[in-house]
Amino acid sequence: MKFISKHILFLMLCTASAFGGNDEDSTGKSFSESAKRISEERKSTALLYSIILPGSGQTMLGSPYKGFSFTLVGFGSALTSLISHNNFVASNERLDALEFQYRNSTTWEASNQIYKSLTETHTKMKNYQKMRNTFALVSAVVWTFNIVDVMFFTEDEGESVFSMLRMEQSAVAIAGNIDLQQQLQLRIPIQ
Amino acid sequence: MLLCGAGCNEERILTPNTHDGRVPDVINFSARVDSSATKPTKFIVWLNWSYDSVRYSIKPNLKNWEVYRIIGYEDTLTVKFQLQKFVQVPTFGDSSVSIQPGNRDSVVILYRVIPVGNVDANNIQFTGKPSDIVRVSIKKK
Repeated sequence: MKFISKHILFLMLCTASAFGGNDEDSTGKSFSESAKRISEERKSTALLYSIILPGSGQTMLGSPYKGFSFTLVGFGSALTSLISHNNFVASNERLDALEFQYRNSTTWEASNQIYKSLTETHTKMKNYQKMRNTFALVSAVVWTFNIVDVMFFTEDEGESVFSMLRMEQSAVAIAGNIDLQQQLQLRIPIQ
Repeated sequence: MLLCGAGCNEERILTPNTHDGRVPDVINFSARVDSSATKPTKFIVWLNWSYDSVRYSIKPNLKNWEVYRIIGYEDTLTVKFQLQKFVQVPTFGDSSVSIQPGNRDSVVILYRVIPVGNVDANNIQFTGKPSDIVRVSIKKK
């Protein structure tokens, strides 16, 4: 008993055979069909994700860099477009105010100054409008291409269902040596 | 959504320029010093100008002109022009110029004329584009 408490040998054998087998075994056909069905389900989910958030489908399928790129470009262009739209609306309102001032101005000098501001604001407004349209178009193209990409060009490289994992059939022994006086010492060989 | 918004926006046209030429501009503005006055310290400065009568031949929007001046200073940024008179004709004789004995030998005067339009239907009397500034230097006789 003392011997056991002082030197415990802890042996753990893990075998993959308990979890699955080869494709050539008796359940091979059903495994293949199941894997295909799961892959299709994952593709559908990825497509849905990509429709909602560009790049998220690619990330889910195991292409994080591609997914991140789509998200970044899609979000960046959409945000720029939104900010440009906001500036466009603000410029439009400023134009209304300046036009009112211009109509009611009584001196040439004041009118000239207001008209200069009017011209500048109008130019800015047109630039904002152009920027908004361009980036909105970029967002739309990125979003569309992101959907096409997740449907046709992105391979499913991600995880499989745990039970479908093909694990190597090798034994791993974990030996432990517990010294009650000192501490628990474990040696875990990792392959 | 943004694309839809972009498609629905009409192109906004810039308001046309209505302040230039609303009142006839002053052209050919000049000044002449008349030193033939009886007193040696008194001078008359004659100002003459005109407007484009060909362009504004039919009933120009012009009621009168305002004559402004700065005397003794040349910095128009710090010193404001003082209104001298409203005139109905494009000429003005400034007889209030004098160099007092014992004072400096010369004096510099800056002149400017601003055309004033008629009161319009919206009850606005528009003041036109100021003329160029004419500099007159008068020396003691």
